[in-house]
Amino acid sequence: MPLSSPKSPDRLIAAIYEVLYSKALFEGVTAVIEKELIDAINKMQVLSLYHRAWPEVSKGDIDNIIARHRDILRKIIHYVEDLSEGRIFQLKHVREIEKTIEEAIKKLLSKELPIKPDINASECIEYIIKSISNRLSEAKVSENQKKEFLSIQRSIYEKALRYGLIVITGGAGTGKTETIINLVELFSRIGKKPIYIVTPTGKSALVIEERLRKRNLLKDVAFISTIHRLLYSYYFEKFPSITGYKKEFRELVDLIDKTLNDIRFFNEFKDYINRNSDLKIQPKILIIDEASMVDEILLALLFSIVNIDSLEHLIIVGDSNQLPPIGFGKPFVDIIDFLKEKYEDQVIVLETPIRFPIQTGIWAFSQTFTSPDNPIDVLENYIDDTLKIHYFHGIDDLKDKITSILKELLSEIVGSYPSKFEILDLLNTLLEIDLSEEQPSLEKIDKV
Amino acid sequence: MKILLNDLKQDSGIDSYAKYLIAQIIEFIRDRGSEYFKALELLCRLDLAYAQIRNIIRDNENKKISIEDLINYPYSLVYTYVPQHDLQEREWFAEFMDFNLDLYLLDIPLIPESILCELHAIIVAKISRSFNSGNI
Repeated sequence: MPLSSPKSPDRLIAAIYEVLYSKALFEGVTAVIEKELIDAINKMQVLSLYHRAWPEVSKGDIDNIIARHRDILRKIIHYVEDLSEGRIFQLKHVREIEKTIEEAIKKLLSKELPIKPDINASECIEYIIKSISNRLSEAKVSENQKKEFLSIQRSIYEKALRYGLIVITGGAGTGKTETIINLVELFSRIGKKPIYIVTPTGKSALVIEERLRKRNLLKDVAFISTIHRLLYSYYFEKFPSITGYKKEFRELVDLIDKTLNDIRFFNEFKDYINRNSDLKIQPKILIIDEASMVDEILLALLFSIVNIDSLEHLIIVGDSNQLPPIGFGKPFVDIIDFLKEKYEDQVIVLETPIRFPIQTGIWAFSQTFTSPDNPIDVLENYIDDTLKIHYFHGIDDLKDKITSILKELLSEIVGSYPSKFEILDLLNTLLEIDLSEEQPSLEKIDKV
Repeated sequence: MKILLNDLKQDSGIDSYAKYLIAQIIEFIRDRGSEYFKALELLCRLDLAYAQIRNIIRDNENKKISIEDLINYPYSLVYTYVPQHDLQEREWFAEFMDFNLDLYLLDIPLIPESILCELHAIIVAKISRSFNSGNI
């Protein structure tokens, strides 16, 4: 059979590669089972052009490739035999990326740390719990909620010191950001520095930065930014030069840029960073916030650029019920699933809301996003002064409804029904307003 | 080869950058074995941009793509070829752009659709007949 004939093994291997590549790139699916792979090859757009010459690909064709052309296939594709689902295929590059994440996680899990915190650390935890309790006294939540929150908080700080890796997951208003701020306070009080905080979005980095500034803790954090900024400009920000930056900085950042554009550069990047290991960033504490939005490439790049050997604690914070990242894989959920099998103690689930009381309308509304068992219809039972439901027909109706709701809300503030411009003006003022500490109801950059 | 290079130099109808690249290709295959001619023949069949040919030559020099594999497994380009991301300003033009090499792009020249080939042959035959009869 000529190599360029429609069903040549050479062409079929290229088709397998292309399907896996596009599935990873456009759908974020990094591993594909054999049946799905065959379906995808048969549905490939190229078939429409060669429908007469292209026979349907079957399991037999894949078996044939594996039996006779294993060497070529193995160079670019990783596959394993799974008892329940048949063969599972994966791009070699993607496998390398996942291996990097796995190795980093395993290294952190094997770190030997004292089981119980020393006296100094225990005192710090007590101090932090006391200050949380003081801050909670003004919150509009029940005593039970407060108690539950404090007990989980205590376990978080103990576990954060006991383990090299902990994962904190929780829905809206369960105190994830508050926990990060308290962890910074804990680590800086016991002298575990430098502390690095990274997030996938600029907004969440700003929220944490603002909260740290308010608590006068910003000086204790060595670097707080987006992961992209850490990868792209860390070296240029930390080592400003008048005579020109080191050649290695440019080469490394160039490879990072190439890898973010095309995963096939990952191995080249990894070889480079391993050859120049002095370029690795050396935090003692690394906190990743909004981790559910971090994809596999970003996480693998981060784990490669950070010196995992000198890293003492990694804290991954996120909401496992949020949508998966736009990119390869869903590493946050995968890490939680992996830890739950053997290291369940290291996964902390925050369930108690502290931004609002439970069993209220706003609580029920937040629950609809976290569990499929809470459909929107159930919300009808929770209507109170924290939640209203408006129904609409079409976009124009929705616009009218929003305008009238805004007018109604704003009229309570300004006293009379304002015009469209007055509404906009007032909204802008509300967002720009620098609220004093006596009125902590709406923060400029916090979640509203 | 010398004649070919001379002809190329004098040809005013070719863009100077293209001239430079063609000269580079000719230089590249000069004094090399017949497999390089086969590879050139293959690359000529593929509708590649200048940048893509330049990258394949570079990848071969860097031992990422072997000439032998290129001839024997042309579809291996799908997984061995990596497009360049540091685009120069002129590479925004279509003929300089470096798209990825996918299956579809290789299929067109490597497995020509028989209907299209027949159609092409009929059209060419008709045109040449009209030309010979003086209608064009």
